[in-house]
Amino acid sequence: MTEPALTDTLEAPARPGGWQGFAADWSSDQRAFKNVPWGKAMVWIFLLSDTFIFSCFLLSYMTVRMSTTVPWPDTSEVFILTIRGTKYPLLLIAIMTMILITSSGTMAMAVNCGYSRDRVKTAVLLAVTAAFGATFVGTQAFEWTTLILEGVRPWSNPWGADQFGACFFLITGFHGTHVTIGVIFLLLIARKVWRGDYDRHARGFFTSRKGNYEIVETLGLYWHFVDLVWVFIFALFYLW
Amino acid sequence: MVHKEGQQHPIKLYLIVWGWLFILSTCSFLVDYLGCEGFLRWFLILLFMIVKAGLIVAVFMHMAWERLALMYAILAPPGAVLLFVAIMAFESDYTHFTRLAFFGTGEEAATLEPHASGSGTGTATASPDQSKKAAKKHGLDGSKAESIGDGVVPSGSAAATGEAGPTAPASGNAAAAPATGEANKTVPAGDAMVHSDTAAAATGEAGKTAPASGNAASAPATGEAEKTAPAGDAMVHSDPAAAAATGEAGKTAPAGVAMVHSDIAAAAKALEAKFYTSKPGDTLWKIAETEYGPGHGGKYHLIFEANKALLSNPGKLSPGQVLRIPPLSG
Repeated sequence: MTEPALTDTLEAPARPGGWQGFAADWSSDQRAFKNVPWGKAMVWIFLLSDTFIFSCFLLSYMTVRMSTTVPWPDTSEVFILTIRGTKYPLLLIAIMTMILITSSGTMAMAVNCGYSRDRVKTAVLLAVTAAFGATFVGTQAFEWTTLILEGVRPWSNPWGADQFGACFFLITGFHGTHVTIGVIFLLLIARKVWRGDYDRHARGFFTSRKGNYEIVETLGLYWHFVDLVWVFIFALFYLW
Repeated sequence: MVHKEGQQHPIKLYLIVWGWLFILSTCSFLVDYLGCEGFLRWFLILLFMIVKAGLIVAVFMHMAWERLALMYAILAPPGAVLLFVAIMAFESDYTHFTRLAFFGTGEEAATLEPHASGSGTGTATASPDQSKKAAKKHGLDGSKAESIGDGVVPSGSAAATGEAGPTAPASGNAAAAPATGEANKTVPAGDAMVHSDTAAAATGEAGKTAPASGNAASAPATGEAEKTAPAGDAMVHSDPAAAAATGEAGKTAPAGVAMVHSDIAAAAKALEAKFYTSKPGDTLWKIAETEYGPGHGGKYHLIFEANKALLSNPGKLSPGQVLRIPPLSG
């Protein structure tokens, strides 16, 4: 006798039809990732797809570098910084790496402060992270300018294999774009945290959803990912 | 809702990881700064890279505290990339091989089999011991062998095997240079032109005889030596140091003329009038910009082509080199 009652209760809430029903049916019955908010799981999956994009870029770089018969330009000669007549190989890249690692550190602390709902500290640390990110993009712009003036083009360069320019602009350009987007979002979220949107559960302008401090962690994942990609670019493109 | 409070970790943990990231990055730079080469270099670069990536993912991205379902879902798929890497490495290796085999220019052209065409009387020998040593020493530096026309010997191979027996019966000119490193040899019908670099000298001996027309040129040339033997004549330009160092040049010119110039620049002057002596900090691009006018930097490859005997690749320009600047219109 309990069974019909059970089915009754299960059927009680009417399932939505159409596209909403399609989405609801796919999403409502089971959660694979039990103890993470959906936003965090989704950003992880986004980062996974981004990993594949960067992997493809680095793979094509490996392929052209391995298959060319012309010697690859010596990166410690190409990425050289001259200060008062002294030449420092890869110094600019070292500075860029340190800037990005520093920003990753401040981001980790911002996330930690976000967990404890510390409004002011979170906002300040997010802003500091954004500042480091902007510095990184600025340094990269300087690097690009230097190389372009020295004659590096996507189709040729003065030092060796023509594919060097294409790989350089594609890989660092795509990474720089990620950093730029990250800086924009850091500033947006820093502003919202500062205003106290997440303490009041104010509805967002764009999504009309009630935001909370989870977004800081989600953003943190993205920012650390950008740093992570740089670790690979740095090792495989600049040092190799 | 689960995970309301989020994760709480002491701030000290982040600071420690942060510090380690700095240390590991510095280590990566030291690999380059201290000039570690070969296997050690690749190993250290990859090691530091993986440790850094691991720290960022595990601690900064909190992956170490997530449930296994999420860990596997995110960390396992990138493993497929490794398979992709293996496939593409295999593929590009093959592409590299076919490029060498069919275009004939490149680093390992020297390993191709030597060809001795015809059945003349000319012989060229290089002492096997010396050339083997040279081949070992310069084997990875790459050598180029280009041949046009008759009477051609892929010079790199001569050095590698230690024996070269080039003969050119029809046109009567033969050229042989036990050259590793980079050697360009162009022998149009009836002429012999040999460009060879230091490695050629190291191998020491080159004997060249051309029976039919009676011209022969041989030069164990160091630096960048240019040998040109227009029809009927044989001209040898070689560095004085080269001649001195080897001393074993067997030169025979039964009929015709043999001229030895000890200056590369002099040799080049005979062909073209315009020259440029490279200064410190010069690149081919900059030279092209000065010589051809602003905006023509992209023509640097013309200069490179004209000076291939001097320059192993467009990046290796050292101060004081005299470059021939070909006319732009051509």
